[in-house]
Order: sequence, then C-alpha cells, then structure tokens
Amino acid sequence: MAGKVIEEEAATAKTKAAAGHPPILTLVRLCVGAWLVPGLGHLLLGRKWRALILFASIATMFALGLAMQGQFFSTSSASYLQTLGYYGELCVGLAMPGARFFGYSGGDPFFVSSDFGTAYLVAAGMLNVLAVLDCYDIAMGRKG
Amino acid sequence: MALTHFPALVIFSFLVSVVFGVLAKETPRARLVYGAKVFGAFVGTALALGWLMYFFPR
Repeated sequence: MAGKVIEEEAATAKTKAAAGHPPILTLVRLCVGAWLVPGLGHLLLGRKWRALILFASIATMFALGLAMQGQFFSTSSASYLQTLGYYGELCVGLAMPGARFFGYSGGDPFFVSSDFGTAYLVAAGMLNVLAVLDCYDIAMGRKG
Repeated sequence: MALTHFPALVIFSFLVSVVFGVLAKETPRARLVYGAKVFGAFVGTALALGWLMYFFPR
C-alpha cells in the first residue's frame, strides 16, 4: 500500500517536472534557429530587444571580419587548430555559407588586417554559441 | 578595410562586451555596468601587456 503511494507520488513529481520543460522538439527547434540566425532563438522566446542586440553585435562582428579579409578555414587542413577554427566560424550559422554564396572567396591571408578579420569571424561564432546556450537556459526556465 | 591594432582592439572589445553584458545580467543598469567593466578589462589588459612588452623588445 505504502509502496503504491510512493510510486504515485514519484509519478506525479515526474509529471510536474516534465511539465516545467518545453518538449524536446521545441528545444531543438529553438537551438537550431538560434544557431542559424544569431538572436532568432531569443526572438522566438519573445525577448525582442535581446534578440536585436545579439543579432546586431554578432552580425556586425562577422561583417567586419569579412571586410578585413578574414580567412575561412576548412576541414581539409592537416592542422587541428585550423579545423577548430572552421567549426568556430561555422557556429555563426547561415552567415558563413551565405558569404560564400555571395562571392566571398575565403579571405586574403596577405591582406594587412587579415589576422584581425579571422579573429573577428571566429569570435562571432563563439558569441553565437553563448547566445544559443542562453536561449536554451531561458527555454528551460533557468533564466528570466 | 584595413584597421590598425588599436581600433581593431576597441571595436572587438566593444562588441564582445555588449554581448557579454546582455547575456550575463538581467537589468539594463547591471548590463551597462558589467559591459563597461568587461570593456575596460579588455582594453586595459591589452594596453598593460603592450607596455609590458615594451620593456622586452626582443
């Protein structure tokens, strides 16, 4: 009898805990959206100003990286650091394939500001990772 | 676009500070204060390290 009551209580607690979190599909959609377009996840959660500021900052950083002829890394390099750099730049979402689509050749390593540009491109990706994690935390109710 | 070291540092620090401030704090005032602190830390540390390297030219 007592065992049944405890089981029922545990099941109720489980249901309550599950009710506090959004469905996994919603979380995946939010995080993928936040990754593809900086700030989109926050916009979907109703944080318009935060979304706008994140988008403006990350997009500006990426655009400045392109303007300074920052390099796009590739996975074909033998260097682990360059491979990491590729994933770092990929974290900014659609911007990297978008820049390639609109004719960006992947940077000029001999241009005077190219190193700064590369740092801007990778940093934009890293900032977007933080934005995705923040979006996840908000969706899980850990942040306001 | 060609930028020298200092403007590149200041613009980078500003953009990163804005994102850190927005993500780390909840109220506008706390964001502003935290963002300003992070920006100061970025620029200040870079200047301090730059001057430190002045004493070790090679």
